[in-house]
Amino acid sequence: MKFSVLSDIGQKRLVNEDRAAMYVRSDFVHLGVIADGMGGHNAGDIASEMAITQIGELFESATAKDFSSVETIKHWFKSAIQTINHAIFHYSLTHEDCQGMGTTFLAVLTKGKDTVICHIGDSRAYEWHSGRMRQLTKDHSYVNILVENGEISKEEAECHPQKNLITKSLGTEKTIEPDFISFNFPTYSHLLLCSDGLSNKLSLEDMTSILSNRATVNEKAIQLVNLANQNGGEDNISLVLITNAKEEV
Amino acid sequence: MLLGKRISGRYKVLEMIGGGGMSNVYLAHDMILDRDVAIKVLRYDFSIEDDLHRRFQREALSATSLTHPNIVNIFDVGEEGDLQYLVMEYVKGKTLKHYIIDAAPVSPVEAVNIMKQLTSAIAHAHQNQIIHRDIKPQNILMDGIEHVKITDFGIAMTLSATSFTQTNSVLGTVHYLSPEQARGGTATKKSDIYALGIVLYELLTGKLPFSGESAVSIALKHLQTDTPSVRAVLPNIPQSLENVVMKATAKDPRNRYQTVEEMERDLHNVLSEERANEKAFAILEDDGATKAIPVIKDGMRYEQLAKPIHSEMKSKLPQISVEDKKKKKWPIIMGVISLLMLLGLGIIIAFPGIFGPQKVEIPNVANLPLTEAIDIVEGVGLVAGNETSESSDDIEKGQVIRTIPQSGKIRDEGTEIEFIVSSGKESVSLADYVGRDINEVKDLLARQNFESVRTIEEYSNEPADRIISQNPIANSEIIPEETELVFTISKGPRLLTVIDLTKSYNEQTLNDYAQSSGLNIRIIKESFSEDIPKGFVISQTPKVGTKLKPGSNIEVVLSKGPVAKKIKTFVTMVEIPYEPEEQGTEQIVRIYLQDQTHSLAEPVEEYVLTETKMQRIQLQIEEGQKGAYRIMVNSKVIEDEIIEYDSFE
Repeated sequence: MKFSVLSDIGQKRLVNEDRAAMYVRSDFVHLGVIADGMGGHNAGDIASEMAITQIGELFESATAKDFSSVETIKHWFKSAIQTINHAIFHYSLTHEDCQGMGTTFLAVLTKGKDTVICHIGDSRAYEWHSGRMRQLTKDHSYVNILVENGEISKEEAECHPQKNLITKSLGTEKTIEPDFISFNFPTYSHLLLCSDGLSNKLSLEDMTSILSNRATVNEKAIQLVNLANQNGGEDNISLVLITNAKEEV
Repeated sequence: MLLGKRISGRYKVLEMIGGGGMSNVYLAHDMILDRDVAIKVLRYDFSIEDDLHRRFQREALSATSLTHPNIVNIFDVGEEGDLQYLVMEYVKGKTLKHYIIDAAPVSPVEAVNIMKQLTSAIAHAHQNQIIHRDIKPQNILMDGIEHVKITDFGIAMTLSATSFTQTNSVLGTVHYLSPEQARGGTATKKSDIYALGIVLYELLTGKLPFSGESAVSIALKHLQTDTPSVRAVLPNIPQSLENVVMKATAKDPRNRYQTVEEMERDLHNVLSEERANEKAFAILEDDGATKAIPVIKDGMRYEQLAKPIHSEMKSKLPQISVEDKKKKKWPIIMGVISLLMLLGLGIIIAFPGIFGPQKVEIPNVANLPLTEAIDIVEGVGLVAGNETSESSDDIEKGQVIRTIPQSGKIRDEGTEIEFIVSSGKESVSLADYVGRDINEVKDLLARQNFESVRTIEEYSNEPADRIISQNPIANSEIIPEETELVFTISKGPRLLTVIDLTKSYNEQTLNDYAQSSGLNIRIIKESFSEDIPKGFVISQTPKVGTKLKPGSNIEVVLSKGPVAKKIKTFVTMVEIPYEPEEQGTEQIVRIYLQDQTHSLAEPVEEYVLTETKMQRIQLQIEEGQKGAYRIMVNSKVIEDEIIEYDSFE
């Protein structure tokens, strides 16, 4: 398992409100996380920082039993998410400048072949396998709801003015229900977690061609971020790239 | 905080009177003109977005051109450092939202009065090509009794523009959002008309037309749910007034008032006597909708027609063909039968003299001695002829078996009769059965009436069931019924039962067993075994309990003793990138391995990295075990892997 974690401020923003991390336990359980903060008076980075730090602490202190099956992993995620949601929500109520702050939350936990994705907001997870990419997560976004309700087409959604409105975020409501996706992480594949600063700037074809080239994981990650910056880099750009493809060295 | 400070040296900030979201509103004193003003200070940092900054200034400035009794006057647009602000007329009073909370539902007369002012103000703005885009009671101030002023012209646009350059903002107030705005389209003058319709609904009922758990669900209702009837809440509201709400809030902008002036004119006489019995507002169905119904009807009619035709054809056709076949066959059969009957009748008529007289019947002399039989035959006028002997199972020797012609036949007197006389039971020459299979022979003998057939079994080298000898011997003349036939048959060779050789026999004892049993032991292979000691039998073929002929082979596998476990070597090269926070600083690399000789507890290698390096990883992995490696740079794992024994060659 090899991974690369990058979080770039981009070309226009003054603050990086994104956070990204990869945690590895000594029992070879891995956790990759992306949090894209928002809201409050310049407090988006507080929410994303809280999310990343707390999930890491909960992950390190969990027992091996918590990750013994897909079901227990989901259960662990649910309770961790409630804890963090409460912490951010409470913090935002007690700190005036932080009112309304929240963050997207996207985490992938792998244990052997068992892989569980936990997802809130519009940060995205993609799987690359044998030259093909598919998006695993479904954005919790307003435009996605408009598409699902047949109000607008997928093409209209691409350049919709309210593209960034999200309908679910960690820390903005009393309770939160994350989405789960579980699957077998096949060998010779990549898993890409990213904030919308990347997914808004790169087409699926762009990502596919970078992930399909023969560069190392670190080089691929850098190429992805560089391309997002070349394409404007209006937003923070963060990613976690995990691969179990054996690199030819 | 800005309290007590002077903005641009001119406006002294006195107190905060509102705010939230993107802006705060302060009461300030204009030191030059000596009047109270409201200052709206934007919280948004435009410094990174020049386009937006210019746009904000342009739009705010254009709003300063609006002068109307029902529009909050904008005096100035300015900036100081990062601070963007608007200086506005200070309106002492509360927002229409507060008024609705306190006073709604308001009477139709009062509601119409307020709406007339609002439509007049918006009409003025629209004439100046300014669209408000965010009309809501929160943006309407009440100055004294029933005098309203709209504020925040133009800013809504800028603010909504900023909100989408920011990531992940949550949907704002959506209660007055027109369907086209909810869908993401740009706001038009018709969007302002829609919002005015919602404000009227709220004034009349004190409620919002659409509510829901989330902003999103409300936005969807603006898109998909018809505005609820005002009269459903308050039946005494005139239909004409409800119609204003319905027309202003039509989903399709084309069905709304064409202009806000049209809405304003409608409001002027909406409560007049002559409009008391107005019909409810209804949108004319467009062509698409009216066509849809006949299309569906046509489809159903076609199905109804199609089905019965189909089933009639299926059930009738086969019936017709069956009847056809029957009609054709019957005449042929009838014809054949009558022809046969006619033929039979014809034969009887043609030979009438066939049964003539002067004949004698041949008597039955069977079972009588020949002399007696001759007497009888000659007694009826027949002549005794030749005698032929024949063996017979049931007629004694010397007695007549039958005559030719046989008894009962009618013959002319003097006809010669031949006698068949019994020679007694038939004797046969016994066949040679030796060498044949007893089962086969038994089948043959079953048809011959031997007194008995016995078998005696004994071991022999002949195959099992083969007849070794017989008594009487072959070619003896015998009468089966009086003969006891005895066969000696082979049971096959004497067999040996294989014993269990595994675990307790080694080469020495196997030899002893081979000699004593008469079986051959063949060692075909030697294999490793964890639990059978070296030199002893691991397995044998055939297995214990099998019957074997003497001289047969037993194949055994001997143990070579336990094997040393197989170990494979896994080698890979891993790139350790030199990516320090600061160029030149050291990075400490620790390599952890887990294999036959290492555990992950302690690093097997530890060094300082000054440039990107290729690290060789070598693991000795025992069969059935896993190996692993983990590479840490400073305190972070940069790569780890579990290697299964079977996962590589």
